[in-house]
Amino acid sequence: MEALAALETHLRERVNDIKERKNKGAKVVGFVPGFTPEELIYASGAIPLGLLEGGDSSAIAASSAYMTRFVDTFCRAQVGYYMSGEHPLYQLPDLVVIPSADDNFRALIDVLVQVGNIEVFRLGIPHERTDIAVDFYVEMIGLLKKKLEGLVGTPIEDNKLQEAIELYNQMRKSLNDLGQTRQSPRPVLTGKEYARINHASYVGDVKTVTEICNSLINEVKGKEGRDSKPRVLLVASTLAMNDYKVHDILEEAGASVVFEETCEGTRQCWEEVKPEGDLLSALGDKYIRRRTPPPPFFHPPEGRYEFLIEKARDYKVDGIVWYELLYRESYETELFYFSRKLEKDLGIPLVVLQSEYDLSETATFRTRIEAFVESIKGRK
Amino acid sequence: MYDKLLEVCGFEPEEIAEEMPRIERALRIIGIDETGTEKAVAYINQYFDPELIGFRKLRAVAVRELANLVLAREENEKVVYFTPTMIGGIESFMLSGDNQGDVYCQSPDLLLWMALGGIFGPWSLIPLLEAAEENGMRAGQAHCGAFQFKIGALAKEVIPKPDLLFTMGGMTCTQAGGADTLAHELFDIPVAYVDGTDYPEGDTWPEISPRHITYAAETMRRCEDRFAEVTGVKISAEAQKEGLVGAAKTLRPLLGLTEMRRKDPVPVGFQEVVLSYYLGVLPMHPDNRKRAIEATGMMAGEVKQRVENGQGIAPKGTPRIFFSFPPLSDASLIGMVEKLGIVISGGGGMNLTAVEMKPPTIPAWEERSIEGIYRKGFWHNGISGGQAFLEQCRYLKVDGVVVANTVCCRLFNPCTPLQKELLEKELGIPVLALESDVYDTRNYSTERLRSRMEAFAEIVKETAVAKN
Repeated sequence: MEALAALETHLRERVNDIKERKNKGAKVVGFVPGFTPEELIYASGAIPLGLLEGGDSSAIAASSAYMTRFVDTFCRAQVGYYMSGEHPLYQLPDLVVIPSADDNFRALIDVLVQVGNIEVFRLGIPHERTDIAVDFYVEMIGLLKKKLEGLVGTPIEDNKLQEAIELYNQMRKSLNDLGQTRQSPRPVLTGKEYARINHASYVGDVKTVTEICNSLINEVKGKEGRDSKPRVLLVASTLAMNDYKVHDILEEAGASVVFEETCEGTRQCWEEVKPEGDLLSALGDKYIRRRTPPPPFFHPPEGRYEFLIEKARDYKVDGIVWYELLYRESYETELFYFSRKLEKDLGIPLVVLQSEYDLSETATFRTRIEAFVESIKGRK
Repeated sequence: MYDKLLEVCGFEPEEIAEEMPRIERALRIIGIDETGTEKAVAYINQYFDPELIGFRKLRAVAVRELANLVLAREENEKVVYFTPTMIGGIESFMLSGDNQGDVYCQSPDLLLWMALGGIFGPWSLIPLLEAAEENGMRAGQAHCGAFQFKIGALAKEVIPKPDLLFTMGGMTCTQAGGADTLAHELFDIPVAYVDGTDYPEGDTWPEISPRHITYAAETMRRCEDRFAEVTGVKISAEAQKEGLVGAAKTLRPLLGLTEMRRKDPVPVGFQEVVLSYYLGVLPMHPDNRKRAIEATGMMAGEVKQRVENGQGIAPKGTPRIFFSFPPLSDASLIGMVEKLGIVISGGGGMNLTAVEMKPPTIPAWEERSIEGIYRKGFWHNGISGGQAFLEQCRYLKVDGVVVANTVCCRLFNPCTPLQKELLEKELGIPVLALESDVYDTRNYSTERLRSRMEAFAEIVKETAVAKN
């Protein structure tokens, strides 16, 4: 598909593009996706740059000098990327915004603040969707706004923020439309391709990625793939950029991911920011109050289970892959009661894969995924 | 079967006669059988200072409270549990049995750890850990052992299902909320969450941003309303204050004890002090609270006498170390360390630092409670945790440090390598980072740690000699 080729070109050129703009005075603000309102960064005139690389065991090894091993794999990998100095994207930001969503992310921030040689904005995330939690988050992003204004040297005007909100709404809508094409019985777009464009939406330029996404929709609209494959719902704590091991093995085994729910890695694009009234409150409304579904570390995670059931039915999934990064305890605890309920309510198999980005996992994953796909085929 | 056990736990013969039926029932529910009893008696005799009568009495207090917890459903109208954070507010109220009406309040996570593991030996906790592993907290996932005790005890019906569970949605620790949501899903227990989170100015500790405090306090007030709704008991500010005063009466002599450990020679073992301290901060039945106050007072008097007599557990001048988080339910490790020619001078968050002694910035009860917690340093974040250790080490004038943060704690543990670096740089003394799980002896053994501790003790001794 041409659009996908254009996406890869854009990603390849992105580092140099940012470097050039940085040399001309632009500021770069890195962020961990999920709870960071990119709209604010974009409106400030700084370049928003999502940092969500993963899947690499060398990054885990590099983190061990700074952090103990009983921390979420993704967070350890982030320490590795920053500290090894080998990943070009991680060397670009003037400021990094990291949502302190749970103890794992707090640990990541603690390490970077002490030895990261980078300025970190600690974005405190409440763990509920109540009014007081939303108010708190709105105050936090108010502080972020001030920080960004200080960084770029100019205030963030409402019209700029309004424009940014509309741009990101368009991108979410395009990604949502693209994702929905996988409701077709024989989707053309693979799960890995959808994950890739999601990742690009954090790293790439918002307008370019939206255009590519729209082109991709046009390319796949009305078309059907050749074969009807087992359809998989992927639940993942973090689906990091370039961590495509599970997708690759699933696709080699003849299955396809048709829907994914992740805490970090794919956009929550079912809800848009309502660009009305106080715009920071509008962001708070989208990122906390209407966050769909809430992550498992929100208490209580109301509606989370129902969301998964609804999507599994809408997308007619045949099985669930529960992809957990080691030591992300919120997903691990939830797994126990969700797996029982999901298997009972949907009557489909669920396989649990746990990763520490270790190369040796591949063979085990392959065996388990192949058996899982065979069992789905056997049921059909 | 339990006579000898109660005897070594400090029960008088008439108390054994009177209380045995009730305590026996509780111990049978817990699953302490004949072998367990024999092992517990041997453990107590081997590791605990036999001369401290006050500490023996305190063991009896712990055993009684364990029975109170196990039998709470049949002896009380309502049962409420909370996560061990000492977050004031509701917990301060709960600390005072006098104010509870017919509501039994307890932190089973901590009480099981202290009273069951700490006194009967670490193996008595293993069945609870195994039950938790079968009920959503799998082995090998670095789940916090304290929360596993609670889930395991609920699953095995060792402790009753409470009417309400108070937990942290995000304040200080995010594992707690997940474990208690699991309790809700498995056992249909209503849960009230105190939320909290990081703050952009989170790196200015010991100064705590007011908004950091007020958000958590707002959610705590909501929990107080929930408590009143479930129990029918309204928590007044007076009751909160009385609760804390009651606990303070137990704690004051214990804080005196920790201070006396700065004397040379060190007059009392670390295990006795740290176990007493943590037992002292737990909620108790009013009768038991009175006994605890008496026991801690007696223990403080006994230790003071030793100081006056120049009596110590090690010779004068023995090098001292700071041990960040000791395994309270395994006296063998502390016992082994204190036989290596060094003594443990402090750790476990027992010594109050200057920051903690400052008056609160916001007078309201909930706010001052939360500020107190964050000032503790290691409840705030990993950076302030290291700084709090540093302050304590300076205060205690130690010759070495063991950073033994429990591996499954994602609040204390993640920054261990950087804490080690900070302490080495600032103090210029040997620092050992020791990987251990203070809750779960299946993950480490004292003997396996012996060679590292022996080498470390030698370095500490050499450094101390060179310094003097």
